[in-house]
Amino acid sequence: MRRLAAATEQLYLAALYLFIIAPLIVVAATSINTATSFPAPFEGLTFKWYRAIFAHSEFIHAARTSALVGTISAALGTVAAFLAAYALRRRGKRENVLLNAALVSPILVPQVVISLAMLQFAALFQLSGGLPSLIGVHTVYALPFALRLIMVGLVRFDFQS
Amino acid sequence: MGKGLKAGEITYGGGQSAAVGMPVRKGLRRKRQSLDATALLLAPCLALLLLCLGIPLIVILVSSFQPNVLLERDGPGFYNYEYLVAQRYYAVVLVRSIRLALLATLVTLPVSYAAAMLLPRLTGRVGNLAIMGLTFPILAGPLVVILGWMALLPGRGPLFGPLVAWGVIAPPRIIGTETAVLISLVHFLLPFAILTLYTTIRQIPRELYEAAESLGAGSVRAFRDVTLPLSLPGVLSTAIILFSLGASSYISPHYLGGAAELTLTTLIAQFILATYNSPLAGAAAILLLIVMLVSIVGLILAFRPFIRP
Repeated sequence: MRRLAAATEQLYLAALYLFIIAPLIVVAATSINTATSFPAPFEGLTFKWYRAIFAHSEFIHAARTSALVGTISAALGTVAAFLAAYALRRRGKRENVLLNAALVSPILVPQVVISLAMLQFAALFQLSGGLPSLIGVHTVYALPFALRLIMVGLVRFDFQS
Repeated sequence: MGKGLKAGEITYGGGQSAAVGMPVRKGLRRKRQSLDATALLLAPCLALLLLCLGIPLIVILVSSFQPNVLLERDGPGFYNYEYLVAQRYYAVVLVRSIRLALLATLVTLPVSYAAAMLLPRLTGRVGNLAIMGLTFPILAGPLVVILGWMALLPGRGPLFGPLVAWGVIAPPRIIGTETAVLISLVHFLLPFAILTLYTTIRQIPRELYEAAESLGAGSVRAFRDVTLPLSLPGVLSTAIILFSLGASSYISPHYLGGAAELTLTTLIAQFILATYNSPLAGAAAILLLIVMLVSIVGLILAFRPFIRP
């Protein structure tokens, strides 16, 4: 009976993980498939798509932009979130509801809405170049996640000394 | 249940007042200094929020009251909202957004709760790998995952293809329906749900289970009287996060629902990209925000009777 329960548990987790990973496996398989259409059954192994994409200057440019936006907004967001988390933890248990709401608000605002708002904001002040607003929006979107994790990390930190 | 043990004490651990054991006046001065320091430390975060979220939101709020090209009106007014609310088509879109987010939340919660209870039993390398595996779809990003679903879900794709070939079923049409959006939404929400519920359940002290067991409670009873009530605050916050993520997701309904199954997010994108009607897009965005806030308050009120103080 116990064994049966354990087997059911493992089967459940295995099925769940298969569901979680399946789309990624399919994408990975597609990337080394010789078929030229998508979606297509697996026909043969090839790495020509990787060669093709690295020969594509637009891809290199886009990848660079992604890396830039990712690293800068991650760095900015982590620093800002760390300072805020430190301040909040140091104050101890008393929680400011309004402050908390403000700090998690980016999760509640859909990305489409943030993007639209930023677009109109940038257009209003005629800010040229999308990169700064792109970085700004990503930083703000990452803030609540960073804040949460850092606050958990600071739980055992001794602020007395 | 142990006396004096509250759910709140488990969720918010640590943290001590800085002024403990200090003379009152010195404590007060120190408190003011620490308030200044707090403000300074919070400044970067709040400045970012104001500049990249607060002010832009005010801009679209203002623009949502501006006349749009479809309606021949002058001066600011509520007509963008009136237009959106009056059209049956948009009401259908709004209801579909809420229905999808709610359904995805309702399916994801129990599935991930069970997983979060089972995961701590995996130890060592398997346990680490299991937790790490959850972050794969998040790391890959929703766009990559959607590409996977677009390959998996067609009637003759790898999922249904064999059944179709053996003549068990006729090729199902899933892409372009709400079912496809729901499947990918649940998939998108699962890792977030499992990770947050996992921390919630892990925070319940082990001694409580031992106490329950020594008092003769079976595993069902221990679940009903210990695990479930103590994890409910965590379940509520998870439900709020899931609903928000579901209602605000854009990529799933865009690629798997398409124009036939518009949601508020894809509708907003259509207003911007297809017709460049920014006042109408702004009104739809504000409407989406209001709908989400109302739904979240509703969720909190619905959960409230079950959460012990």
